[in-house]
Amino acid sequence: MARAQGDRKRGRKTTSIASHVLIFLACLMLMTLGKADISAMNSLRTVMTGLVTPIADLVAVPVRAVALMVESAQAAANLREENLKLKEDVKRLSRWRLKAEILQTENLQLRSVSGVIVPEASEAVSARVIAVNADSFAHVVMINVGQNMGIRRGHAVTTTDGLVGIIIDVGARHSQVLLLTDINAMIPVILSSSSWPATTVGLNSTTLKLRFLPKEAMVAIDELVQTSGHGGILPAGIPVGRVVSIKDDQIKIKPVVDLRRLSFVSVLVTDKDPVFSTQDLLNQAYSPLPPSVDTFTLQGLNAVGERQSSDVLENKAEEGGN
Amino acid sequence: MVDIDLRTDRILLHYVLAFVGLTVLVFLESALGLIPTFYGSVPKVSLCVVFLLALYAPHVASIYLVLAIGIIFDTIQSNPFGYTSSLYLIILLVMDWRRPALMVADDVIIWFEFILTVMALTLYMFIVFMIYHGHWPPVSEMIFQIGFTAMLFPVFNWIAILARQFSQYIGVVK
Repeated sequence: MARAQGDRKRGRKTTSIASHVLIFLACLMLMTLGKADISAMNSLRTVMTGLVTPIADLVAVPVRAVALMVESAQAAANLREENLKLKEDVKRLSRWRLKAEILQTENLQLRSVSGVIVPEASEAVSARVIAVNADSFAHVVMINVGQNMGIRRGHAVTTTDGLVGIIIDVGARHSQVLLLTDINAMIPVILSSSSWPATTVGLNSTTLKLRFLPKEAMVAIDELVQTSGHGGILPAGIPVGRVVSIKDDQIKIKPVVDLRRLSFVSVLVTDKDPVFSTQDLLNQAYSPLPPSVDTFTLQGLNAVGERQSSDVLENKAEEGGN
Repeated sequence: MVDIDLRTDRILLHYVLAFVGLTVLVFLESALGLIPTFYGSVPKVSLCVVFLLALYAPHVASIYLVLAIGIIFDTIQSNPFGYTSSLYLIILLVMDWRRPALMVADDVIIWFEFILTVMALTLYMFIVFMIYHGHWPPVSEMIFQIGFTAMLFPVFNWIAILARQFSQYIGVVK
């Protein structure tokens, strides 16, 4: 009798452990499916996020109030110090304003002679941040505008200071923004003083890493890094960050936007679909001018190094001729 | 061991309470990211609660409950689905094994075992991060997050003990 009871108990325990392990494996399977970027999983995530957004918005209200209180208390404690710093800043900014006015005039004069095309106007849509990344796994924030305001994947998200990130998922009334600090965020940038191109890569931390910078480029501490517009997704000229350290070829960038204090952001909405298709990219044929007839050039190669067929090149030539 | 009044309606009530409570908790945990100090490294208070739930109320700490709660958290945080659930499941597995010993242990021992568990979870998080992103995780943020969680545990344990005493007083727990 006692032995049978013991067996039953042992049997129940084994079943319990087996179900735990089974569900654990199911979790691992879900994670793998998520990594595989299957569209059904993405759609499911969009729907589920749409469902939880209103609750997250509601629950964030008291927390936002607490955050404001904490920030106010900190500000009050640093009032005197901040006042001195602000006076210094006012002096410095007055000098900069004068310089900016001179440069603005010069810029307008140069534009009138160089025929620079001003980028297509984009409309800024204001949005409130509902949920901020609480985990170091993904640096993504949720905002309270979506398809209802014309938001689409790939739109740039900014504040008055600079770039925050790009839209990666859009629901009916919410969107998810991949912050530039996320490990998957790679932003094509240029150094503001020398215009050398590079790419910032997130580290899921508070800083970014600068990669693919040509070796001959000279970088200075505190140098501004801004979007280059390469790739056609982000508009050019949005401040991204400043160089904070240069150590053993490792260049670290601190974002100009304080991502820890995001409450409102602007989404730069454009009519043009900002997401580049692979076909668009492949159809771009690079045709540098050959220095002489028998010199080997990259003529006819597309962005991925494949040779384009002659009719594509002829079409390009005709378009150029027209 | 905890002597629970296992009437079906009570069990259902406990399940509903646990689900609602944990849901609100994960939403709050997620919203804590709005406080600049906790940016990207909010203390994982839900780990403390799941640990205590598995210790003091194992009849409600079911695998399905933690699976659902974990998926809600992953949805808000854009984590891969199943990531947070797998963390909770590890806690349940550990507690299945350690509960008999911990039920008669001092609070300090329980705290120590919680710290050991979260250290094991940190290792798991490191491995998953590296496999998923192919990159070394942000160590300082993760250590801050887990360290803060471990420090907060005694507060939650104290609240859990008070809740148990209150439940005994009103007759839910004998």
